Amino acid sequence: MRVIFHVDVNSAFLSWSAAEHLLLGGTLDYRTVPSAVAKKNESGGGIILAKSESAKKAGVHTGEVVWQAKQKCPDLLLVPPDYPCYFRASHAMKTLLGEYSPAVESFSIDECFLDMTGQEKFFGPPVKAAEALKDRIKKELGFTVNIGIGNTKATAKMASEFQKPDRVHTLWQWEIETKLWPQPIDFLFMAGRRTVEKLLRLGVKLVGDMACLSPVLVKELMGKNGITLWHYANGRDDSLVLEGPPPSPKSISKSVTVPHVLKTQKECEDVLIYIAEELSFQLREKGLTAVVVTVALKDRDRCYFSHRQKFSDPILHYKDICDKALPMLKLLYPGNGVKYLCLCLSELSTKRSLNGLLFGRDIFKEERLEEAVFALKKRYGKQCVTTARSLHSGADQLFRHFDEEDFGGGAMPRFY
Amino acid sequence: MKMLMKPIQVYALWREDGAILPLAFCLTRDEEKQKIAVSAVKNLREEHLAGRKTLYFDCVAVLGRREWIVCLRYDIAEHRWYLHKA
Repeated sequence: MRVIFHVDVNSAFLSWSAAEHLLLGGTLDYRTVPSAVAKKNESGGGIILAKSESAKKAGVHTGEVVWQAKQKCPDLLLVPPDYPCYFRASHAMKTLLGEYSPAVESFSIDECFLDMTGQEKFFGPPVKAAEALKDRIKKELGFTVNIGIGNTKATAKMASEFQKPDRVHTLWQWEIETKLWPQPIDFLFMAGRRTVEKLLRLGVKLVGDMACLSPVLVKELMGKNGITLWHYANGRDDSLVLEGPPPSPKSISKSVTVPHVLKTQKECEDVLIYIAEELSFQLREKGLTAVVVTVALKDRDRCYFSHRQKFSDPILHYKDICDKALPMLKLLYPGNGVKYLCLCLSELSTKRSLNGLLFGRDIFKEERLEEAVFALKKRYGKQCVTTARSLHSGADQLFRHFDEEDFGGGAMPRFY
Repeated sequence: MKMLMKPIQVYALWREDGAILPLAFCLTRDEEKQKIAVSAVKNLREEHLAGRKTLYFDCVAVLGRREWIVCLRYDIAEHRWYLHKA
């Protein structure tokens, strides 16, 4: 029988910011007061990325807009995000977990699965080992974690959600009926908002209700994903803890909600061109190409429109992305202004296009140019070279916060 | 001791085995720079709170005839010294 641990950092971003703040001489522990990690932009927007337990008690939710959270909790202390600190803390935790098992799967920046099967002789019984691991992380790294123990990844993940913070919970196969089945249906691993709504409409309110349904009926009502959920509700999941680097992404996308409505198609095109530049940079960084392009937007009334097209030729160059995406934008443009714009590239692979050679386009010349631009951007920051159109369009201002955080905040190189 | 976290200049010795030994540090008081000698390192501990590797040196600082205990902090990633506690 397998023994899987799921390690989940409690209020990850806030805990890491708090630990860093204390380390740098601060006296206030953000975790003890109503506080939240959020970056407030000039327009007063911004969302809550993580919150403390006392903020949670006041009704603040992750993903909530800052002004709404402030209404619920006027004393809410806002802490700006510090991404380099988060990556450092996450890396330190994963390195420490590597001392307990060779099989550590990074599930997200603050979550990991550990396959602890056969480790009893080194670390003792699973619960004792988990307690020791939890205490060690608290003592050495300065933040608390929840550890869920189960026979599968799904049960371990659900066990870590039971009661927070700084706890160890088990969800063994024989505890499914008593611990998991009385939980509300939204507690089930991988049950998203839409799925939960659908299940509630069907009268499935508890995880136990889902588990007791007939698999034939579940498949008929919800398809393949329903069957997966049904297995999770019964504590079954045969997926392995994957070692090594995370698998390559299936798609890359970038989106923006603009503070003021984009009133003309040209304004939208400027933003889309800027996003295309960004995505082309990311594709080249990962050594990938895409064949599916999706453009999505929300109009002034927040109505959502999207268009998706698959191409036979792999796309990598910024110009090619624009050539495909701009006609889609033209098709979608609602006329009453755009509030949200997204460009997504999917079906990523390592294949390269050769069609340019057949149609008289000197792709080698373009490739050399793009390589040179990529090298410059990588060394001096993304803003050092840009297209003439993006230069004064102002589109870069919409992404300024993110770009500063991603690339150390400067267009100039750092000297050591 | 009181938490200070003041960035300071430090004179230190890197031994062949990789150990770091602070010898003296500079403090600015009333716009006057004072060089304070470290006569002994009583304790050394390594921490990596929030993933930030840091060395803490509990030292005996000497200025004239006066001796007192201070805690110097060396941030390994940033290569910076701080007067952590005094």
